[in-house]
Amino acid sequence: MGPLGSIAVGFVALVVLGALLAPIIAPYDPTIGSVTQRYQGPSMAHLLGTDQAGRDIFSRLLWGARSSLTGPLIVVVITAVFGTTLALTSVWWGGIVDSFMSRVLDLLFAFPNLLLAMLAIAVFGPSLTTAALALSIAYIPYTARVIRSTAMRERNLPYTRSPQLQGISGVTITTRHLLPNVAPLIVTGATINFGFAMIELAALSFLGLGVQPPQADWGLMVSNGQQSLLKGYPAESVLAGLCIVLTVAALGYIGERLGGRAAAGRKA
Amino acid sequence: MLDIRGLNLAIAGEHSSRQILNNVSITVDSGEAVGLVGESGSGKSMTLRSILRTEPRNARVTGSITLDGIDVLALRGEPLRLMRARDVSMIAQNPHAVLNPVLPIRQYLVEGMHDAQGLSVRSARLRAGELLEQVGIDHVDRVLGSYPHQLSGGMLQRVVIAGAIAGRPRLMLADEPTTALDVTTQAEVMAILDDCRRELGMAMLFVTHDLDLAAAICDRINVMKDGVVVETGAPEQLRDDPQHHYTRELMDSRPAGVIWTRTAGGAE
Repeated sequence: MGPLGSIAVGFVALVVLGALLAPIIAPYDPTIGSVTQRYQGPSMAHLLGTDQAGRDIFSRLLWGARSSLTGPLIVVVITAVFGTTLALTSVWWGGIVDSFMSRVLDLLFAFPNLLLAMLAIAVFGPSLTTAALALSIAYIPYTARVIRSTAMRERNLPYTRSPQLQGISGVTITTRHLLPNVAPLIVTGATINFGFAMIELAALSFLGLGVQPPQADWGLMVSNGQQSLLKGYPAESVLAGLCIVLTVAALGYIGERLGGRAAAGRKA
Repeated sequence: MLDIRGLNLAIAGEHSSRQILNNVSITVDSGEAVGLVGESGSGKSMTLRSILRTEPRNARVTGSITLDGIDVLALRGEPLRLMRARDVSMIAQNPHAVLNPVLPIRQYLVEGMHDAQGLSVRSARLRAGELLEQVGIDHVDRVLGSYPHQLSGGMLQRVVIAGAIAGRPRLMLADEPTTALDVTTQAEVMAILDDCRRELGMAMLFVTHDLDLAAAICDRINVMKDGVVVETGAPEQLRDDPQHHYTRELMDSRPAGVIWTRTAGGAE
């Protein structure tokens, strides 16, 4: 993966570890602050200082990693499962089924992701789950389309054709032959989608439509920090924003390398 | 048993259609080996594909193909799958293309027997070993655990033959099964194919461009040119008294010094 890849993987691992161990390593409760401790600079007591409510920023970043990671994880898992199922079904049946599915996907494409998410939130109320589910639906067409095009090519290769001549059922051919051969693509797509989902979920949290205060979330922290930013205390917004940017960049880089590797393996 | 009568196949183009098969009639009786000889593009493979109903989507097929009285051209869905699973098996030219590169040999054989023929996984696993012994493979366990890229073309073609005889089909279709192999392996694979066929009493439709090869193992030979069967007869008859000038040309184009021989157990 090269040195940059190692750094990217290392950083993501660090974020995941921080999220998992937040209850143990976070020095303070992320939701409780003290008015006397407002806008503290970095110190031994508060590694990254405190926000306008006197809450420890480092603790909030650690806890925020949890919701900032689980949200995209939900999106990615749902998208991969449904997108792949749709794509493979569509490819296997072909003909009318394929045309129908393609049109339905086109229809979903027509909605901007965030708009679809806001619509769902307007109906079901703001929460991380609602936002993640809505985004999943918006992302399914992207995944399905990419997998469909590759699966379509694989479907016409002799190794998926010949089991058919042996009288092997479509379900078996799809799950045992087609699926393993598009799996690298699914993983790559999921990695890249994770980054996109993270940004969009952060945007929803920023708008107050995702994770609700006083819970810690990176997107929410960027939004909360606005007031402080104007007063000359940029730490909260900047640090949370930095966390988002670096995680997304690292994941994007990893995804790109995985994709390149899968493509190279295909050529060999 | 297999009765092809007046088979026409045309592929529709944008403006005109192209006639691939023209009034092709071929019969194969139970236990009989019938050759179908012709140059590339003569329609041999398309004839085989029609029997298994894998002709291109834009092909228009008329005439009749019956297998033990069942109208093959009318088969669809489950009955078609069962025919492919139980009655007819196919050996293709290039075994490397047929086998899924990411699955070991054991999976290939077990899947065919379990999914297509309905054997339990347990007995399919046992039978996989027996089948490989039957096609003259020594280190059965090693081969069963190998991936396609780890085996030679000759070895892989034996695996494919093992898979093809697994369901004890009544008819075996062989499409240039040794063309992709080197010369010494060709003879071995051909002998194994012939032995298995005789042992199990299967009929075979053998497609090749090699008149000598067909003569060595077939009871009757059909000579095909430009989608038309120009001559049918026993190998000796074609050798001693070719009726059609194309058969004569094929005979003359053989390398000098080749002697027509029948393998052990043949008619002579």
